[in-house]
Amino acid sequence: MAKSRDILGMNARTLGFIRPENKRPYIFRIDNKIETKKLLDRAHLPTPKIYHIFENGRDVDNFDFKKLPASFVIKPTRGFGGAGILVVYGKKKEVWVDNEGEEVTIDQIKLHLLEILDGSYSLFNIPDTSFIEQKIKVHRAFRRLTYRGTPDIRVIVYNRVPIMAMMRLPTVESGGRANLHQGAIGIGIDIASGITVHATHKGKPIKILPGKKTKLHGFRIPYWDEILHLASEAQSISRLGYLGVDIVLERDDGPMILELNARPGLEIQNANRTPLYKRLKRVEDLDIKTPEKGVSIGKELFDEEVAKEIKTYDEKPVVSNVEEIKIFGPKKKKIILKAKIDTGAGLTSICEEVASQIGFGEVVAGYNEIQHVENPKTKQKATQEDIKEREALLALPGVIETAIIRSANGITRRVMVPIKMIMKGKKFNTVATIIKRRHLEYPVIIGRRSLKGFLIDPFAKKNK
Amino acid sequence: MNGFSDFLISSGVPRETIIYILMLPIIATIVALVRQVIGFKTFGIYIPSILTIILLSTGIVPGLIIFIVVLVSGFFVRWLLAKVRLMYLPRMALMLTIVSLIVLGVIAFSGYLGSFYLSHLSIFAILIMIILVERFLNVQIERGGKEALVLSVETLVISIIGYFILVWQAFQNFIFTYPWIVLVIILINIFLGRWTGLRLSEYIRFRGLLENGKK
Repeated sequence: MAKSRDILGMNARTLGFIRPENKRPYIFRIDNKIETKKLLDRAHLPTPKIYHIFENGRDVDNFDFKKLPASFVIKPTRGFGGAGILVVYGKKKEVWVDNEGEEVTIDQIKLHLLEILDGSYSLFNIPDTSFIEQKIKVHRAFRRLTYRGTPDIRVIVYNRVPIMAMMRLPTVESGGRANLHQGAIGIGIDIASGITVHATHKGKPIKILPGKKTKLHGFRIPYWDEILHLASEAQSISRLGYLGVDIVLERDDGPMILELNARPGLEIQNANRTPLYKRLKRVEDLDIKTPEKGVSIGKELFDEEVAKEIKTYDEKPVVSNVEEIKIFGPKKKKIILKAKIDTGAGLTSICEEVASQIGFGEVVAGYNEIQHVENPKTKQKATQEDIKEREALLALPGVIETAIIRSANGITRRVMVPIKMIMKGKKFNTVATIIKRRHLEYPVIIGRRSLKGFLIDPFAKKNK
Repeated sequence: MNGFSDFLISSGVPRETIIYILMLPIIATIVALVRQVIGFKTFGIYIPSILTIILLSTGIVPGLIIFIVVLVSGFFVRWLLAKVRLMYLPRMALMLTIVSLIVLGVIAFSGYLGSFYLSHLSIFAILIMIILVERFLNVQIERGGKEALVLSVETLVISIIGYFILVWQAFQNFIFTYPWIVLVIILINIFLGRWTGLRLSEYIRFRGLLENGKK
């Protein structure tokens, strides 16, 4: 149970952090998206490219819109809450298409720019400027989670330390915007590992993506260290003590800073199911000189235990050339043994002893009673004897198929049985051939067909 | 103690004016309190304060009727104009025109029904309410329709609370007799301005955290 005084409320945020830490001229600078970009550029921090800036109506008249690429984004310089942003996804001959698949003509683009210049989307309708920037292509890792707009990662940085982070996932209701109060999903991320832990949607905790089966926790954010460093660097150069940094992952360019926010929202606490105030207090008095130090302190201090318990689902287990496995036969009889990983073999094979121990005794006995063909042939060239042997083998209980195996002992017809295996904590069903292998070191050889979803590193640490 | 009020009365200032002026800081403080401590969202402090005073001058029922008419027609007109792409200021002017006409229509209709409720409304009251529509629509553009609706309802609730405090005769007399009591307001606001506790609404917002969040 969290205590109420550990939670950061609006009053405490304003009075305790924004007022004392964020001075007006610096807030004013980052409320201006073009100034923010200039600032980031000077510090060599990546941010989406600007194609063109429009200061007034004449700029709109003089600009050759035909030069624009197929996809781009139009933004008001001082807009907020995602208002006034026009995203153009693609081009069909002379017209562009927006996120709804609606056509966008040059005239519409011009009118939109003029509206922005007129102050329709700025705070208190002060005349604004506008710019066209590079459209972010969603990173492959996020594709499974995204169904609208571009997800981003919000990191709250205080005193150079990344304090808390969440992924913001736009939804249909949020109209492709990543703002939580507009209906986007907030997914809390463990600072130490970059693994998602909890999620919140419209003020309520959720576990799976609405309308889909995708789990929201246990997702490992790629480039995590780079993201934390970018966030800390950005806070450092912004001269704001308490800052929300919004980072996107570009498909080709990697992490990029999209925006800086001097008044980051409080919902991140619900997304992480962790109060902020206590974390802020822990780093308040530390004297941290560099972003590197800030990141390592953040990772040290805000290491979520939950993240370790959650199994990440995007990771493929790495296996070495020998692995300890559990093998199950019919009626859940199991044994634990060491198996050899052999990508030279197509099929997994188990020796007769192992097969008998896990419950295929009858098959082994039956196999040895049957008269075997000298040089068994495949289906097309099968002789009478071949067919007879195959049928006899298939009649044995549990045998699902036969296979012809070439080995040092010559060519033989073998039986295949269904088995279940647990290797590196991953449970899977597969089939195995039963062979005679008394003289070999490993009673089980795992072949290619059973290795789907594993990565093989012959020099990986072996299981004890 | 009431020497000051007496002096004003004898100088020809209407009693009503004195009370309104003295009430304004009290209303503003109520708005501040409700926002900082309870967590109501309102259109700033000016709109709810002024709305309270308007309700007082028009009477609560006609005031509310006009408020709702203005809001609903503003909403409707915006929905209508959303389909035509117009620049911001002409669009707003067009909207104010249509809203004014609708208000005029409603007043005419009430006259036709023989109810004199609405016909005595001051033009300033109506104008101020129309200003409110602009604020309302800006919020709608910036933060969405739902948020704008919540804001207007909460603004209205605060104004109604303020209204009932203001028409409370005993309170009026008290303020009139002891105008210096308004100085207490300064202390209350200094306290409110330094208070960093969770708002009541935040206890609800973070209830999940309070129940099973991490320590």
